[in-house]
Amino acid sequence: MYGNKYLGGIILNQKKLKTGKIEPYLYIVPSIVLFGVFLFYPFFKTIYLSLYKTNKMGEAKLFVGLQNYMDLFQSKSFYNSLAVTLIFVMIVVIVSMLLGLITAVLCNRTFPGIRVFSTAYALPMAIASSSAAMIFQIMLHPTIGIINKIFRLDINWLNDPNTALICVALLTAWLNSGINFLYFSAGLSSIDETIYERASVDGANGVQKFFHLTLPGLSPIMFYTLVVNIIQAFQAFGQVKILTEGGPNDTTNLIVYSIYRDAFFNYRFGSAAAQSVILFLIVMVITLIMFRIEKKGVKY
Amino acid sequence: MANIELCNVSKIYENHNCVVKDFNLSIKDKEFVIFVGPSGCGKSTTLRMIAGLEEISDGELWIDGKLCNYTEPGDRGLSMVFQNYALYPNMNVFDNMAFSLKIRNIPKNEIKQKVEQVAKILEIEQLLKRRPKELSGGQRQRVAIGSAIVRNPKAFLMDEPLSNLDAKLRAQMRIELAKIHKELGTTIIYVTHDQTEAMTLGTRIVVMKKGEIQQADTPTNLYQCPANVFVAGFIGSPAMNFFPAYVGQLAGKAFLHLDNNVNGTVLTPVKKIERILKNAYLGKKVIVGIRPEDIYEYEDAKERGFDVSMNVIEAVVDAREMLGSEVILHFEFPEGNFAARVGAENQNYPGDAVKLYFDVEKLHIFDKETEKNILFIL
Repeated sequence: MYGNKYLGGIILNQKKLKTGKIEPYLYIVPSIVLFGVFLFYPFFKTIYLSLYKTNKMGEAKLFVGLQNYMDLFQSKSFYNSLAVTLIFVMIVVIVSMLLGLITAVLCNRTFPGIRVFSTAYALPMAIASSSAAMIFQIMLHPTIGIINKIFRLDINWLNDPNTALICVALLTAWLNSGINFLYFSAGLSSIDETIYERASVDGANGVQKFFHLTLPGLSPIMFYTLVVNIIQAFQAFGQVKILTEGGPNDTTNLIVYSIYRDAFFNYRFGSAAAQSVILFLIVMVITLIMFRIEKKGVKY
Repeated sequence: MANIELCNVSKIYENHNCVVKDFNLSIKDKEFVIFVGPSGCGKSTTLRMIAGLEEISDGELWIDGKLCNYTEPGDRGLSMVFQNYALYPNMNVFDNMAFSLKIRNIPKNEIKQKVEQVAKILEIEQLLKRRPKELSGGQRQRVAIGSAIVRNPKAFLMDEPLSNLDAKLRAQMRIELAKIHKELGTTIIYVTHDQTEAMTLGTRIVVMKKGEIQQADTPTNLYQCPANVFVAGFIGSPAMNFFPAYVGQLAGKAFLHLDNNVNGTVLTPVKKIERILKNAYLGKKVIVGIRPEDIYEYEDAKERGFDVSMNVIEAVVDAREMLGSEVILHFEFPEGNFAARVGAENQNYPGDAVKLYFDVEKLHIFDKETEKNILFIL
């Protein structure tokens, strides 16, 4: 009888051990399933598709190896969309970060109406890119648009190859500035107020305080914001789709839009997949380089 | 080297909350002035007004004969050391100390020479390349002081610079601060709530309460001749004992009846005090103050040659604090509890009844209404 009890104890312990081993993995199952369905499967499927010619349904039909990539590297249109994307990313990142930084610095003091301003500066974050694009479309309309009316101009902003990309980029920058405002505000509030007081007594003026204290103080959050902004800018789509559809003359044909067009207009899923893989590699390489630089650039 | 003068300086916040009222003080060159008082008494605000970090609502601030109410903080020629050190976290120790010189475009080798010289005085030469987060509290404190010294300011403003340090380090830094003051010979205005710091460092102490100066005097005068009940209670540890009392008359002489009770304990004041009481306070209520060290055990008082035929009371020990070189006894007494500082050899414990002698020569008498010391204003 005692023996049985004793054995029972051991079995119980073993059961505990077994469930103990499995338990942690059970907790991550939901996220693994979600990631698997929406991230890992599409990711590997894209790499797989990029090695095939596909039919109109997007099914892989003929293995061509790296032919899709070779075709891309010989295509002028692809180089164009690469160049357009790089210019677009640069404008978006610089303008949106500057907007976020300036608005955050302006709102870093208490004054009457601060909440109104803070809300206004953070608002773009809450606006869907497509609805913002619709509003901009009306504002930039050559005949009824408010921009032309105010400045008494006659520019077809979205159909002029010289202005279309800048318009789309500025809209995207404004949309992204909301979240940057939040990041920078959080960064500013973490800077100790007394170092500014000491700097005042030391004789530093506003500009010196900004460059010697505020910017270095923001450097950790600045780096994070920069990485997020670059990735976000590379993925801009909605505004291009609504405002210009890649035109005029492919001057706003960003990579993501080019992928969309290749896949769903030209039914060249293989080529689209190859572009996706290249976009992924570009973003990954840039991020890795940034992380390498971080160690030198982030002040503390 | 600076003379700083504050004339009727006030600080009033938007909601009519007056935190500093009519502050008048003239600080001479090379003085070590301490602002001391409980939390919220306006001492830090006054210091910040001198630094230029707070606007002066009313009154005038003169530095070396120049009206400085609206002068930018950086142009006042003062240096400030903050409670939390306020070191620039992104700069190493060298750059922290050199910052105020760099922004004034002083040549690099001159900066290097000055910083190294100050680092040597403060013994932080080996830390020059470290970031603030890699330093201990004491080291940060030295860097903060070094950053203030390096500029050769007219005066140093220090806002509770030692309060973030542990007791041992604080005592050590106190001595070093006194040394630095002696070596540099600069005016220092120092804010603290710690009366030990105030007494040991200051050449003059300004005791503040609710935004007003209670007394500005040397540490000795402050201790021996407190201007009012607040100063008397604030300076000294353990604090001065207070008893409400009634000034009565017996055979033509004035006596102090403790706790306003004619039948209670009677203290016979010495002649000087007696005369003042008789002239102006007969039949009136006063507050009697006596420091714990001016209360002796009966036998001890006898040995010391005091006249123990009067001014002797008996009280029961309530608590006993052994401090090593001395013992603080807390007594329960009908006319008001009090403390006495006695020798380390004392063997009285809670519950014991002890006979004590009050050294009436050291009594402080305060007006009941105004709470002012009547021995020094009359």
